[in-house]
Amino acid sequence: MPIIRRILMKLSRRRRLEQEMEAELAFHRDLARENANPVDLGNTIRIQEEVRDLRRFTLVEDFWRDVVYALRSLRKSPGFAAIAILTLALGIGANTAMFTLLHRVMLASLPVEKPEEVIEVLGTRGDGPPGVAFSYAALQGLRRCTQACSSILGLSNNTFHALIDGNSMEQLSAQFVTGDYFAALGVSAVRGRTLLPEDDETGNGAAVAMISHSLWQTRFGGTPDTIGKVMILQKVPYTIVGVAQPGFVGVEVGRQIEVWVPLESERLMRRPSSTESTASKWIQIIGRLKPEISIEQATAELRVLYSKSIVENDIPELLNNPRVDSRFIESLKSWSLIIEPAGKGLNRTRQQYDKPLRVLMAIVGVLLLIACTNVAHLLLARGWTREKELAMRLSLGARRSRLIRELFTESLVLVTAGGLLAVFVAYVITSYLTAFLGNTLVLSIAPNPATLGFTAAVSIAAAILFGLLPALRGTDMDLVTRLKSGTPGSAQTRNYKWSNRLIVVQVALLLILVLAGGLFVRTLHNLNSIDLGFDRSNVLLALVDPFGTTHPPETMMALTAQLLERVQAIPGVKAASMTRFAPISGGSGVDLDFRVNREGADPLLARDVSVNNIGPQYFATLRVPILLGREFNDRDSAASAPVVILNQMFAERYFERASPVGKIIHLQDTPMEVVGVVRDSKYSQIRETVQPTVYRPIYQQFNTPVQLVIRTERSPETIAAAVRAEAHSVIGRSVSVRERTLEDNIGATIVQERLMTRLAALFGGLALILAVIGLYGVISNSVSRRSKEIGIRMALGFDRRGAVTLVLREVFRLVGAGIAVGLPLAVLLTRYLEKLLYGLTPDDPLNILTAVGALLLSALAAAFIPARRASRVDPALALRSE
Amino acid sequence: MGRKPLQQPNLLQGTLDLLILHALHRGPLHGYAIAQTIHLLSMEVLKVEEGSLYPALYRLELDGAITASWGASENNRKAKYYKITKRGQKLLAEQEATWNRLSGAVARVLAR
Repeated sequence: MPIIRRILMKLSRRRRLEQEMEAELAFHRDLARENANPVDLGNTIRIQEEVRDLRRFTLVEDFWRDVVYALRSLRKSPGFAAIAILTLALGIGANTAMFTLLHRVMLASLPVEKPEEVIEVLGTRGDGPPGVAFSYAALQGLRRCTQACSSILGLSNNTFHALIDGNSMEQLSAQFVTGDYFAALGVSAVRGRTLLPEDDETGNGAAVAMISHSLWQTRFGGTPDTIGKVMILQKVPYTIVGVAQPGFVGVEVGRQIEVWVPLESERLMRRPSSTESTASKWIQIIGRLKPEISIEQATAELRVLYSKSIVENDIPELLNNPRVDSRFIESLKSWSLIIEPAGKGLNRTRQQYDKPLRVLMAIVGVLLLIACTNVAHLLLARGWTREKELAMRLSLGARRSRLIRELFTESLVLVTAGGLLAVFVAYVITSYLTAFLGNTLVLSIAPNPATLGFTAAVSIAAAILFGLLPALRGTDMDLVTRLKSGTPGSAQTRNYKWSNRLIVVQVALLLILVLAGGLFVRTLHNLNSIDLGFDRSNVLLALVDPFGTTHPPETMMALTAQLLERVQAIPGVKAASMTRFAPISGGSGVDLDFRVNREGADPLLARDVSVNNIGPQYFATLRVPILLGREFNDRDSAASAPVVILNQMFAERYFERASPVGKIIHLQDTPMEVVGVVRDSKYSQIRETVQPTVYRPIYQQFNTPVQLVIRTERSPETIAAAVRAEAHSVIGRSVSVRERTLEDNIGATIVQERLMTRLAALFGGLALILAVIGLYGVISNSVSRRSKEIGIRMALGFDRRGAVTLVLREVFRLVGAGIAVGLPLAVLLTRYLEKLLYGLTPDDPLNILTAVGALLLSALAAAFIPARRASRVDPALALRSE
Repeated sequence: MGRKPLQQPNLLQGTLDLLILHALHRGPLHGYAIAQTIHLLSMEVLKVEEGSLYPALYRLELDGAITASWGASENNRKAKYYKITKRGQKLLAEQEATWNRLSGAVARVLAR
């Protein structure tokens, strides 16, 4: 801040300059005396005054004097200063917080070399949305892009179980990357080395790992001997060879990678390896374009390479598989790819958060406008009380520009204080946001130059918004009338008019926020009241993951069954079962094809049927009604014949009116007997339409990890510790148990909607409070201004109700005007929200009515105290006062 | 707050600036020497008082027409020396031209 430094330098220099001046004058006089030169001894002080005046005419010093003056005058009205600063801090802070998020997600470049050259390659299928991942073979094919690309990199996200020094760590966010990943991105290692192409030789990946700087700091204490340590990832021992430069956490916004391992080392971890089949689309591709190469040129080259790879790899593999439909092979011809710039990070998260962030940014922008109008009200009101002082100074010859500057400096002082406080407010909001987002969007939100710059810019803009009008109005007056008396002059009346106009603007802005807030609140309410088909309250989920234990699967199954029995015996547990996939986990699940034999007709193929493996009493635990047949029990085990339960949708679609119980369906060549039909319930998403679903007994198809599903009498969290203790005692200490309520699990799938709702409601509420304060201030000013008039009216026979009506009429005139202006605007603007809503449209009449009602009620609340004061005006007092 | 007029208008405002710049034209001088130079060059007609001189010097310094630095005087005392800048040279030339035109005009008027 050069200006502040200049001010400080000036001030420190002033003393020295004056001493020098004295010395100079003394020298002059001495010489004059020595030369017997009669000198008219001027007054030293006068000269100094004159010189000092000369100096003062520098802008900086003037500004500094205004600042000191403003500080002094603000100290005299601490209440006003506090309210103004707090209001501004809230408004600016909310903006800074949202901008921090927006900047992180949408604007900031990745900490890599020349981010503008980095691209993302997205697979497409005909007209479908882009973003399909690639097979290993396709990656190898695309890596032959040499004309347009300086490098093509493959990466694949994973979560790894990790054991370090024999201690189980929580799951690490990891990535398989090609060996040239770090070199091509220009990311270096602060310790050790990066992964290298030698680590990633085809078919011979090295078990070496690079870790992020933050993992190094938090889990390894930042010690240098971390390099060379062995870390067990998914049972494979990896040697840590390096620590990435601080701040580099991968190329996807919102996902912080902690461990990178060579792509080829995937063969060590998975059997069979995903590299072996083109059916596994598990690799995301990014790349770096050569300088001067356009995206179109690169797209052309990559498309050719991709088609070639499909013809050489995918199609022959599919032709070898007799079960594959020839139409599917035909459809491969529509597979292609597009390229997007990725210098700011991969597109997925950014697309997902693009609109919500924009909307939130708009909301906080409006909030700031409301905050600014509030401060403008305060300043206008302050202008009235200072009117006499200003009039006096104007009439004594002060220039108007000088006074405007002085008043505006006061605004700058307010906004500086507010802006500083806003950094703190923003920190609180962003901390709350990141905590709320949890691991759905992991971001570092430390203040950075961009966000601080934004805060400064917003602050100055705010100061101009709220400070200029009052400064202009406050100094524009008819001096004669103003000085003559204490009665309100014409300038004052005009100021009231301005204040009223501001209120109308404020109400209009507020209406937009209240409408938007209402839309989001109702959307969340609609989402939460969707019938999921089961009872979600008071259910605890416990994910039991045997990683780290050495039990073979059969033992694990027996131990899990034993654990379930123990859990059922815990006091407070009503019922308990288990499942492979907890309901509404947001995407995890398995789809399989079943064959349904029919008498006297071709068998039906049931494609993409959702499948879940569940324990005995699962439906009883979740309170899903059994419509036909029975639920699984302990006798449905690996030793007994395969059985299934269907949901209603499956039964109706493939069996029509007939009862499916006792019938046989086939999974590949395994016949399975249908033993029951249950009511439909949602499988993995709240908003999905229910798909045909087949349930299998978990003891006939056991996979780990397993979710225990426990219905409790009271709050489910209370038994979490007991469940964990039982798991440790039955399966062993090394088992990992993660408890979560079913409600939380479901809530996590709509985190974005919940975030929108919370923030829209929070900011809308803040705006409402600010607007009520503003309205209150204006109305109560108007009542004191009109107390004489009210007094006269009362003396002439007006009753108290009349006085109240007078005030209320004014309030509703202003609010009504605001609503009239705001409603069309709000309806127009909220149309933009359509896609973020569920179960209602932006112009939902009930929502509009509620919003308008809420506004009128708040206006009533704001008018209550002033109206009561008006009704208590004592005519005698009001008439005598002057 | 307007600029205060110089209180003893022995010299026309502006003329003093011209004279100071002219005095400094030949080399750096301290304040007293400037006053003396003007006094002597004017055949002891013009007397510059410190009450006018120093404000004028500071103003010229702020304008960037002259610069000041501390040095040793003839009798080895600390004194502040003023030196004319490029900008000051230009100003001097302009003001000299203006003055010549003006004084010539005044002389012509008075000659009639």
